[in-house]
Amino acid sequence: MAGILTPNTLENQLVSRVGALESALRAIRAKQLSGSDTLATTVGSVVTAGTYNLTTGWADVTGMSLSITPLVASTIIVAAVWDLNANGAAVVNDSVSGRLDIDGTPQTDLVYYIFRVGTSRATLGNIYVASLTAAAHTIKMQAINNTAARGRVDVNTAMTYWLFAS
Amino acid sequence: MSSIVTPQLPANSLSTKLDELERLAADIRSKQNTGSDVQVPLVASVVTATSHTMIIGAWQDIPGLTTDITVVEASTILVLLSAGLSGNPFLGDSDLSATIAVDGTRQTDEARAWMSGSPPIDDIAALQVYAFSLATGAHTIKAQVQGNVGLGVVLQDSAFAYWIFRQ
Repeated sequence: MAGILTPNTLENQLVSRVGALESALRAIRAKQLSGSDTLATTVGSVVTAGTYNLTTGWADVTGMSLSITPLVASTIIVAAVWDLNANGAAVVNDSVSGRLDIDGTPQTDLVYYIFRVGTSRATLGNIYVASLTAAAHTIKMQAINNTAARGRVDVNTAMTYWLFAS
Repeated sequence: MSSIVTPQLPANSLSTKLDELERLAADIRSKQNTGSDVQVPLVASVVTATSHTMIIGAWQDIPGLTTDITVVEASTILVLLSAGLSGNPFLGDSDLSATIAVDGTRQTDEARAWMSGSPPIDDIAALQVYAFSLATGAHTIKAQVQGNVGLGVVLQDSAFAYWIFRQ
């Protein structure tokens, strides 16, 4: 009679089911602690004390690179600030810009500034949102002087980021 | 006849497993209840309603741009500062800086801009971002400003927003 179980059989089945449940709970707890499947957020910043001389082509700002590997598919928000400084150069309304590059792909939104005189300087920023896969990624700040190779990105350049599990 | 099944469960592996299971569930539940391992950010902003003429070579608090924070455990705070900087038509060109001071210690990176004091007078929302650690306890965060060269005005649009995350 299938409906009749011996105590030993019943106990074995219960032990098996409880064991599976325990394993599942342990997996939940491990992921909870690691933050890999919760809304845990990774935050951080990149700063530099150095300077980068502007050229007429887009190029990486020295020291302003972030390497990040999310454990799971994530959304990242980056707030980036460029310290654009004519630095005494003989500028003539030079058009200068900054942008964020994610894994070799320049982001559309830029910061713009005009070096009107040699003392022109401003910390200007933009905010970027992007999706990141669970893999290694590189995020860089880039800059250009569209008019001539002069002026620089100065020491107040910085970016902060928030990484959220998607 | 299921009624004849009368399991006699001794204090054996099953009860041991049940004990472990109950402890584990209680552990997970207690952490969920306190939120102690789930990072819930606190988000807020401070905006000043007054403008302020800065002085040369001395850092000053920006009136109204201050907040007191008490964190219940070690945290990371991100701050986004927008300093409305303006030239002063009566005082010539100026090089102006603003930054965040945490418990009296100014952060290194500045929101900074050179402003023309001659028409057209420059206005700019100079931006800066910060990330730093806060120990458990009370903290005061202020925005400060100074004229590096010449004088200028920090505008009433100035503000900072902050996000606090448990570490």
